[in-house]
Amino acid sequence: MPENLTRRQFIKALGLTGAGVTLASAAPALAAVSGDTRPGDVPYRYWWVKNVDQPTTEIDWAQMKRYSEWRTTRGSLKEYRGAEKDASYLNLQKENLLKFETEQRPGYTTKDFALKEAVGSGRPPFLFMGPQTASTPEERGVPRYEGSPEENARIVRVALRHMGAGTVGFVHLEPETTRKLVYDQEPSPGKKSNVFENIDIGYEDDQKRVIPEKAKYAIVFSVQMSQETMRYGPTQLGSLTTTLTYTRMWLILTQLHEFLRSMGYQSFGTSAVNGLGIYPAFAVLAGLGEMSRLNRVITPEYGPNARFTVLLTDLPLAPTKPIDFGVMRFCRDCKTCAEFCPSGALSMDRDPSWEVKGPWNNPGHKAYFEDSVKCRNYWNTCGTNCGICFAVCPYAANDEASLHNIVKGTIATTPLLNSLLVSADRQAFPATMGEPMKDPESWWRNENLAECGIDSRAGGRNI
Amino acid sequence: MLWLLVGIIIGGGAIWLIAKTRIVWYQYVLGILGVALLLFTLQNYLGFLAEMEGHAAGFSLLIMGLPGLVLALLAVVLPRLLNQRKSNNAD
Ligand code: SF4
Ligand code: SF4
Repeated sequence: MPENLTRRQFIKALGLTGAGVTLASAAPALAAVSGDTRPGDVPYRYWWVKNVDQPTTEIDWAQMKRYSEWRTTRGSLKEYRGAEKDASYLNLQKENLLKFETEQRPGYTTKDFALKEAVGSGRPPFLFMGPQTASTPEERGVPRYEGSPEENARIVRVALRHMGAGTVGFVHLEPETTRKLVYDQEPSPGKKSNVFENIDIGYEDDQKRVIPEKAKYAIVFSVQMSQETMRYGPTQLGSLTTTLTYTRMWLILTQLHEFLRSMGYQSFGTSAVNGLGIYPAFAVLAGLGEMSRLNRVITPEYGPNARFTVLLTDLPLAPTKPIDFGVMRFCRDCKTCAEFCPSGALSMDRDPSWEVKGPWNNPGHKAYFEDSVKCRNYWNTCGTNCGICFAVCPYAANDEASLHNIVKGTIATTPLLNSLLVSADRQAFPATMGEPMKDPESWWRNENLAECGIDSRAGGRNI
Repeated sequence: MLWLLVGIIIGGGAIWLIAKTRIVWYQYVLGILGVALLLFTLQNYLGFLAEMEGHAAGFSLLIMGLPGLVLALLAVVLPRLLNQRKSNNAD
């Protein structure tokens, strides 16, 4: 039964049962009806999302060390596969992209290339402390904004939502635990150190980026990706799903920097793609989702189709709790992503493990670790990032059809029907190994597309 | 609007049936189950189409619409079949 159920969620739950068939009754939820958002809630959630004290991913904080971003395959792929192999894969990618565009292969036609190029343009530069162009309260001659941590959390959520973010949660940085999720060193080529010091104002020099200890509030937010275009991967059309999301995310991140500055507070963010910290871990601790066999986060609202980022600030913010909606239990029985992964990169083990697959994984948590090098090799082969595993995941669905919500509610309530639900999903959303789930040319014929390919009402919101 | 129209049609149909015909208890059970399943199918069918998932929409017609239709049809034809059998036995 949900621990914290808001009135809105309860009404939604009733609406669901009113639709006729639900395997997980909302009746017991009656006792849990509360007022609006409680501390610890990420608001506007379906009734089957349960707040928990510990995340569904086991973490051994004593074993966990701070990790350097450049050690991921984004920064050290050449080292992991060897210089010669690396050069030959990069060459293969170049040749294939030329071949596919020359052939005008669906999903790799000139219009697909052009759209990907276009949606990747116009990104603001990454700046550790943001552009710092917005006026501060001091400059305007007024005191800085002051509020309780709960009020501040609400205001940041509202602002972020208006900027285009999906869900928003908060984590407090503690030196022995959560602060270890901030990267020791930033991505290549800069590899600057992220350092915490007991100072008043943060700064950056040639060697390091210094974050004041008091900036211990992490704002974690998701940006929704298009469920639709993701279904066309592995192609340029499929891959522009993430390209567009990153463009939107960086714009939101920049605006958030300026919002906090204009309220009178400091903020510290990434200085490169995926920098600052381990976003999936922050997202799990903030209650935005659960880890999965993808070794990525699955959210209740957008399934795996979300990107995350983090900004640190000295504006006090009430933390949100991790959640459990059955994903880690479901992945034990599902394996759809791993079976359809063309490179065999994803774990086929029934249970998650403490054993990492390579130096691109950070030890200290129990996960379905992936062979990231195999995945990257496949990306070079198909010329672009692949995304098949995201597309085939049963959670990768919009929720217009009420069946999705019933299925997710059932998974969150009992693991007994997991295998049956996996089979039904594969029948309803068939996939072919190594192929896009849908014909990319059909997407270009549809002129009735959602803005940015996303549904801003996803996850049970009514706007 | 669609659901208002569907409600009016189902409500009107139900009133007419109850007023004009003699309904046996199991017809109520089969009829209500069948109509509920058909409504559920309609919502999901339209939902999947809105999600641009044509295959899933067709699949929902098969796995939910078909049983709903069978139940609703049984509600109509079962009394006739039973009557027919009764009169055959009487012969
Ligand atoms: S992106 Fe493609 S190759 Fe990589 S893990 Fe997913 S399915 Fe496998
Ligand atoms: S496809 Fe299945 S196993 Fe893979 S992440 Fe999604 S739910 Fe888990």
